[in-house]
Amino acid sequence: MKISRRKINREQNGRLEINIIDNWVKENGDPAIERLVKKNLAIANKIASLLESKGMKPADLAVAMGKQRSEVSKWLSGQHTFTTKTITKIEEKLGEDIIHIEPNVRNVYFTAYVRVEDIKPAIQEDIFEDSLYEEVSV
Amino acid sequence: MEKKTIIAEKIHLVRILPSKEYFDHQYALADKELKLSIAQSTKHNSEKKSFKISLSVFLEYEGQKIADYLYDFVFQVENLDEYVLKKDEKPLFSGLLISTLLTIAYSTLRGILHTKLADTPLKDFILPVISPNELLKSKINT
Repeated sequence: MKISRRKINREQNGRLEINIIDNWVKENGDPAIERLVKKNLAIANKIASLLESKGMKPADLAVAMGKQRSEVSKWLSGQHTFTTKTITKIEEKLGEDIIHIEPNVRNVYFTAYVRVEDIKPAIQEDIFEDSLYEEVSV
Repeated sequence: MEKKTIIAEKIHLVRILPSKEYFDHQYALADKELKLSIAQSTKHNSEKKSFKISLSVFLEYEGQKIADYLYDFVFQVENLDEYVLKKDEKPLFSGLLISTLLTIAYSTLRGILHTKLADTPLKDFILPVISPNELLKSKINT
């Protein structure tokens, strides 16, 4: 089959344009936007899996939220940037958290003393007597 | 006076003393069913507000001693007096306190033996979880 030179040139130019766009995105793309897109997609996936686990359809969520089906479809496509208000309302309707904020870790602090050797003989020399105790009901 | 609750911060495990550590390496133990015996003795020193819980772990196979461990766990209980139910000739201690100390000692021993047996044919052996009540029934013959 004979392919015209014009067609080959057009395809090569097309590839060149894609490469130029890719390179531009790599060099000038905003990492924050990339992160936002990933987060939106993750939230959409989480909502979809929560709906599935509860045996609900997107239409059911739309009814529960008083929204149009098309809006919920957009949410689930991952193209929507959610506000915390919307997320909270969805969480309220689904009865589960979509986003978990890590709680503050409360540490318990102790002061540890390494016991010096003179304690050991004292304990070893201590006289212990058999203990009597009430019956345990565990 | 009976003390209903345990204040963990007032209990101190102050010493762990190995009294006996025996393991017979000559037996091939793979797929063998071993007999495990666990026993305890609980002693106290009222003046020093301390308890000594001794735990014995004995493993045998067809009458042959495979392993024999005896560990003493010495506790100090700051508020010991609050756990004395009766004070006749000998004090009667709250079962809750004794079972708490025993549980701490036994769990600690589980970790010790897991490490001790790591280089033996029983490297995956873990002391079973048992009720302190059952453990209290099994006393070391002294």
